[in-house]
Amino acid sequence: MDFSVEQPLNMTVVYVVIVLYFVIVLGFGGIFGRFTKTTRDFFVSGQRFSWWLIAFSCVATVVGSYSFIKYSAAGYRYGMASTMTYLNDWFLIPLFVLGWMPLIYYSRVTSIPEYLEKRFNTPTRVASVVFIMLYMVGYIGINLYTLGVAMNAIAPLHDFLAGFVPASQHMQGEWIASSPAITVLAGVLPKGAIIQGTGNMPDITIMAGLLPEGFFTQGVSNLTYLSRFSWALIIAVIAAVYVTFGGQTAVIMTDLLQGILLLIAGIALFILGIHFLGVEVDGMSGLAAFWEGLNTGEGHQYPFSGFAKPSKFPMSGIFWQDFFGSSMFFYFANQGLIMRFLAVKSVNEGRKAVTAVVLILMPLAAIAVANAGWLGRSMETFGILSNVQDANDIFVIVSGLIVKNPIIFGLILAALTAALMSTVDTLINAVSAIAVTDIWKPYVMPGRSDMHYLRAARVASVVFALGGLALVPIYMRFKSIYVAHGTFTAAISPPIIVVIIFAVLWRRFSARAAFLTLVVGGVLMFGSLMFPDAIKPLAYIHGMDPGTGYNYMRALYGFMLCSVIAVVCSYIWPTKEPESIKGLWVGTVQAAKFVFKGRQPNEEPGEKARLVLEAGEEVMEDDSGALVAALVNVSPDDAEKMKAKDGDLVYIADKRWWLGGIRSLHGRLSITDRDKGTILIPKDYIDYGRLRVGEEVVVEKII
Amino acid sequence: MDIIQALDDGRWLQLIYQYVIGGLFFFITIYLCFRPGAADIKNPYDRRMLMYLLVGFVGYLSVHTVWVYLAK
Repeated sequence: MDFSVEQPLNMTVVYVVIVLYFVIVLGFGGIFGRFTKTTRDFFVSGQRFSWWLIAFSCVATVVGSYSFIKYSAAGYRYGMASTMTYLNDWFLIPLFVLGWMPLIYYSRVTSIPEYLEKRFNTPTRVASVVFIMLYMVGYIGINLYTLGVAMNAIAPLHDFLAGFVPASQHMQGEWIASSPAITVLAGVLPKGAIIQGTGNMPDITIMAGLLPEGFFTQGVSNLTYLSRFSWALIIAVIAAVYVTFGGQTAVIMTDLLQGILLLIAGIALFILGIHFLGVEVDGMSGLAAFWEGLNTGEGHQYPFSGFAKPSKFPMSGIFWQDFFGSSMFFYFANQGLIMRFLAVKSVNEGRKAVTAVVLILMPLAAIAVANAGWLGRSMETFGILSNVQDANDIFVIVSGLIVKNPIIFGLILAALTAALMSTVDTLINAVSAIAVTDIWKPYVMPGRSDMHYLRAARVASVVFALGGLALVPIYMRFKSIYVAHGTFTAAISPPIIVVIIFAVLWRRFSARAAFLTLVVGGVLMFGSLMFPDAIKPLAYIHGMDPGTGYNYMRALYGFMLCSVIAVVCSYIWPTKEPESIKGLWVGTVQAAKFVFKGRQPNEEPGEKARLVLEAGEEVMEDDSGALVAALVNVSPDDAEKMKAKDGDLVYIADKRWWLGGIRSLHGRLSITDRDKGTILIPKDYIDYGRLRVGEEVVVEKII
Repeated sequence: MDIIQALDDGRWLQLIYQYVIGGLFFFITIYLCFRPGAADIKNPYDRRMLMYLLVGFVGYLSVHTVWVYLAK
C-alpha cells in the first residue's frame, strides 16, 4: 500500500470501514448471545474462559474512552513520561492475585457489595451499593459524553444531520453548547483546505483537510452538538443491544476483538510513524530520528516527569493519584473488571490473566495510546510539524499526517471507537449485575426463578444504557455536573479501596469499622474538597505547588485518613465472631477453597486428559431453575492421570484451544468402572456447554 | 539539596521513590498473603505465581533503570 499519497482522505471509505466494524461487533454479540442461559452466564459467563481471552479483553476495558486523545496529548507535552500511568500498576498485583481474587472467586459472589455483606453486614453492603451505583451510572454517561466528543472530532456527522435539521437551526439556537474541542489542522494541512468557521462557532471541530471541500458550511455549531449526541446514541444502542442479549460473554468476546484491534492499530500507527520519520528526516533511520527528536532538552525521553514539576504532571503526584487513586480503584472496586476476572475457568487462570495484562499488555497499550504524541513531538523537533494549538488534537493531527490510506485510517478510528465502546459495555453489564444481585433479588423480588432474574438483568441493561445516555445532554449543558462526578469519584475512591484492602488483609477489621470508614471517610473526603488546606502538608513535603498539589495528593490523604479511621474503629469495635468471616480474608483462603468445593481441596498437580465425550441422562437444574455442576464420569486410569479424586471439580473444554473456553463446562468428578479414554456427562449439560458428543474433549482438574 | 536536585533532574529520584514506596506495598502484601497461609510456598501454583511476581518486579525495575540511564 502507498502511504505517501498527498491527497485528502475519502471519508466515505472511512465511514464504511467504521460501519463494517459496528456490524462485526453486533454480529459478535448476536453469535455469543446464544451462550447466555442463566444469570451466572449473564454476569460471569459461567466462569469458563481461558486466561489469554480474558487478558486481551481486559486491555480494551482498561484502555478508557478518552485514552488515545488524553495520552497522546500527555505524550506530546511531557514525552515518554506519559507511560507512567500505565506502568505503575505492577505494585498492586500481589494483593490482587494472592488475596482479593481467590477470596471473591471462592466465595462465589457476583458483586463487590455482596462480598461486603458476607464479610461485614447489610448496612455496609447498602452503603457500598449507593456509592458504587452513583459512580457507575454517572460514569456510563461520562463515557458516552467523551466518546461523542472524540468521535465527532474525528468523524463528524454534520453533513448527514444537516438534512434533518432546518437550515435556520444550523447556526445558532438553544442547542449550542460551548465546547473546548477545537481541532484545527491549519499547521498541517494544505492552505485552502480549511474553511474557517465564523465568529459564532468557535468550537467547531474541523477536519477539513481530510474531508471533501465544501463539506463544512457556516453554522455547524448546532450540528456539532447533534453530531456528538448522535455518536453517543449510536454507541449506546449498539452496546446495549449486544450486552442485553449476550451479557458478559458478548462483552468479553467483543472486547477481545476490540482489545486486539486497538493494540494492532496503535502499534501500526507507531510503526508507520517511525517509517514516516525515516523518510522525512535525512541521514537518520526512522527509529534514530524518533529518539533524537525527543531530545528536546526538556526531558521528553525520560520515563518519568520531574518529581514535583511540571505542576500539571508531577511524577510523585501521578504516582499517588494514578497508582493508588485510579489503578487500585479500577482493579479492586470496579465491578466490571471484577466480573471479568470472575469469568475465568479457575483462580490460577485468573492469576495468569492479571499477570499477562500488567506485565505484557499494559506496556504495549501504553505505546499504542501515547505514541502519536511522541511522534508529534519528534516531528516538531525536525520542523515537520508546527503550530499545534491544542495538544488534545495531536492524535488526530499525527494520524492524519501519517496515514493517507482511508482503510487504515478507518481502522484507527475503529480502534478509537473500540476503546470507547469496550468501556461502556463493561459498565452496563456491571451496573445491571449490582442492580439485580444487590437490589432486585434481595429486596424487591426475592425468591423468584433464575429465569426471572435473567430477564431483570436484561431489562436493567437497557435501562442503565438509556439512563447513561440521558446524562449526555446534561453533561453537555452543565459542565459543573461533569466536574461534580469527578469530584464524587475522588471522594469515594479512598474509603472503598481502604475498606476492601483491610477487609482482605485484617481479621480484626469489623463491620462497624468498615461502615464508619465508608461513611465518615467519605464525608471527610468531601470536606477536603471544601477545605483543601488539610492536604497542604502532603503537597508541601513533596515540594509541590499546593494549588495543584491538593488534587494530586488527595488520594494519599484519603488513604491515610481512612486507614486511621479503620484502625481506630477496629480497636474500639473489633470483630467479635472470627468464625463468621471464615473464607473471607486472606488468613482463611484455604477455608474458602473448602467452601467453594464443598470438601477438601485437591491441589496436587496433574495432567490434562483428552477423552471422548459420551452422553448420559440426569436432571441438571436446582430449585431456582439454575443449571448446577453435573457429575461427570471417568475411568480410574484417567482420574489418576489428572491426579483427581472422587468429588473433585473438573473443567471440560472443546479440544480446540483457540476457542478460549467458549465451549466448555464445569463438573464434579465421579470415578466409575468405565472404558479408559471416555467421559460420560448428562446430555442437557453437554448442550449447555455446547460440546459435541463423540468428539474429544480436554479434561483438567480444577481443585 | 543539590544532590536531591541532581537526582530529580536525572530522574533517579523518581525511580527510587516509585520502587521504594511501590516496592514496600508490593513486598508487604506478598508477606501478608503468605504469612497467614493464603498462599503457600509448597504449593506449585503459588510458587510459580511468586516467581512471576518477582520476575515482573525485577523486569520493570531493570527496564526503568536502563531507560533512565539512556535518556537525556
